[in-house]
Amino acid sequence: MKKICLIIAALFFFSSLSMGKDLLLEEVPDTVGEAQGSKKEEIKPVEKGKVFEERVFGWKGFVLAAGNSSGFYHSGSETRFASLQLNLQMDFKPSPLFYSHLDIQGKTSFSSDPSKNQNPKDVFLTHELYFSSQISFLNFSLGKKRLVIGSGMLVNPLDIFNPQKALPGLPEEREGQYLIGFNFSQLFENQSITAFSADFFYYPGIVKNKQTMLPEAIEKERQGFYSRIGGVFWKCDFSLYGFYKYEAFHYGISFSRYLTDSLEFHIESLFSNQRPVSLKRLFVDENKTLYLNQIIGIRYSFLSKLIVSLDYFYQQGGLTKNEFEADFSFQRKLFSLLILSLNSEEYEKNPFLTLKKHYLIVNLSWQDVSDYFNLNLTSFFSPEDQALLLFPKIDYLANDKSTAGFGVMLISGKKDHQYRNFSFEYQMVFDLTVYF
Amino acid sequence: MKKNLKIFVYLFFFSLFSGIFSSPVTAEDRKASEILEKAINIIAPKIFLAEIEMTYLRSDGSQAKYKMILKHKNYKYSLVNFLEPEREKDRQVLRIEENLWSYMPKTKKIVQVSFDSDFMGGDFSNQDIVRLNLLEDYTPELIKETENQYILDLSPNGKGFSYAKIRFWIRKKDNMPLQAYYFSRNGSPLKKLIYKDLKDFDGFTRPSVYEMTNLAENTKTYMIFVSFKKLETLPETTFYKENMGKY
Repeated sequence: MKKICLIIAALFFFSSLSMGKDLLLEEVPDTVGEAQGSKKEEIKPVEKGKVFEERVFGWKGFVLAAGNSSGFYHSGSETRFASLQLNLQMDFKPSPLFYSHLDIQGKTSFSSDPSKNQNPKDVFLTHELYFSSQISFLNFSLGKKRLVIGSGMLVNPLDIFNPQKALPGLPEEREGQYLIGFNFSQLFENQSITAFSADFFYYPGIVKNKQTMLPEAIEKERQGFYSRIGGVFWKCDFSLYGFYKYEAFHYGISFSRYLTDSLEFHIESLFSNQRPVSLKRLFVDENKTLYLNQIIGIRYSFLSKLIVSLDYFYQQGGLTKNEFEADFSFQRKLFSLLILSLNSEEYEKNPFLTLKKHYLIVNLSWQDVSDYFNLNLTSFFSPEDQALLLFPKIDYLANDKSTAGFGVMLISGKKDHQYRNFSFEYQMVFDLTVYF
Repeated sequence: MKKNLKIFVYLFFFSLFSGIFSSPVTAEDRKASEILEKAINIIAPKIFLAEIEMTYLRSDGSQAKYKMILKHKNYKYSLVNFLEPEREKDRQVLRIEENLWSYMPKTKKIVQVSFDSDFMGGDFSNQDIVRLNLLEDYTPELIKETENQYILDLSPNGKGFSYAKIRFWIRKKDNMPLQAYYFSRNGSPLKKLIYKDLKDFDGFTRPSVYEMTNLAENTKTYMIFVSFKKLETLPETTFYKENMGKY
């Protein structure tokens, strides 16, 4: 017994001694400036001309060739659609007080079957043209600008002014809005609040395409304002919102925080006294209930390169089972016509993506799968009719200036599930982007 | 029997508390902090602006290159603005104290990101680039003093740092940083950083090349400081989250 005790004690003793011992305790080669033992250090001056200068004028652009091929349910036919676009962005910052930005796009498209909803046309759009002035903590903006609101990755209930059309992985297509806006920002030096900011934006609702002859009522709906107050409190990025849009007030909250090194948690909620705009014209609700649109989700980084986000989207104003089934095929046509009449531009969030009340949304983004490839996988799942939209896409980073992507959008679900409204069974998408 | 038990008890308590008795005294702590502070002032003065080229080797031997501007203030605020390659141009990373955001110009979205994540796919992590005051996050201990170098061990002040320990080699005569090893929580070395090529940046002398080796994957990433300006001030507006996207 005593021998065992002695052995254990000796093991403790020697292990405690060896814990402090380390092989990495020797001098390392002097790599910064001189060989070991040399008397005088020779310091190389920086080459002339390699000194940073603030950029006054900057520009960039890209050419995007995109296409898709869709297989249709009803006819069994296939349709091919292709587009070619040129985007150009310019920045001008003559002083720290003044900044201006231009983002223009020219696009031409072709379709193998123009009778389908992807009509070929040539467009020229000014996505953004604004200037902003920064005087101390006050920022003033005027012009046409894209405004991205919310902390959710795939669906943003708060993003009601100029919502994103495309799914992640597809070329971003977000229409800018004419606006006049102010922002007050202040950084604080104490530990509890690190930043504080408030926005006020007014959208005068200028209709840029007069040819569409929007009815007066709809034109009114384009006007609105938005205000926000928020900041970073105890590592929480928190904002409160007030909107006026579609002739109604809406209120919102957004919150995000890293709970651990790799796990982010976010909530984004919109309270509105009307149903989502894409549905309110179809089903008039006399109850005037306060509807909640909410995303609750997490984002987790695996091995620094793989990010998985999981969101639950609750849309209180979504279609009920009865509403969906009530001769929906007819309603759908009516609905499509309505959307089309409202939506003179091709840039509008796809309204069919979230028609119902409950969705589980998953996104997987894997950067540098094998040096040259990025993988993105998006899925929308509605438990009510087990409708599933699955969209894997892989991007090939050919070089510093060009990328090529290929993806397939697949849909499935119960008979007459909601994603049949896409009309297609599958869609293959291709894109090639050259930056300059 | 009693004698043996006594020996056992002595040995046991000696081994148990040997770590405590061998801990450095407060004066040593102060010295270690001073050494590290001087080294940090060389790597990252309080306010600076730097133009950096980052290169890493892909598995096929080709190089991935990024060019960026790093603006830094008071060890609390950092902004990285990408200039190259073209497909990443105007991407930004902003740190305000304990928060980190990334701005993606393609989607115009600003999302919170983790300090732990890889910095643009290389061997540096986000925190290696934007959390520059090691004294803020780690407690230094002078574990060895050789003829020419100090060797410090840096232990995290709290939870939430991706490195469980950093071992730092600093040149004695001018407090120039030479090398650092980054350790995981299980004690194995993760990465090795070598500071290289001292250069004179407009009167401010500091290493111009960082070589980071991922010891597990045997990959290397280089950071070359093309220019470096120690500044008196930088406007606060530079670090407003609302200004992300404007270069």
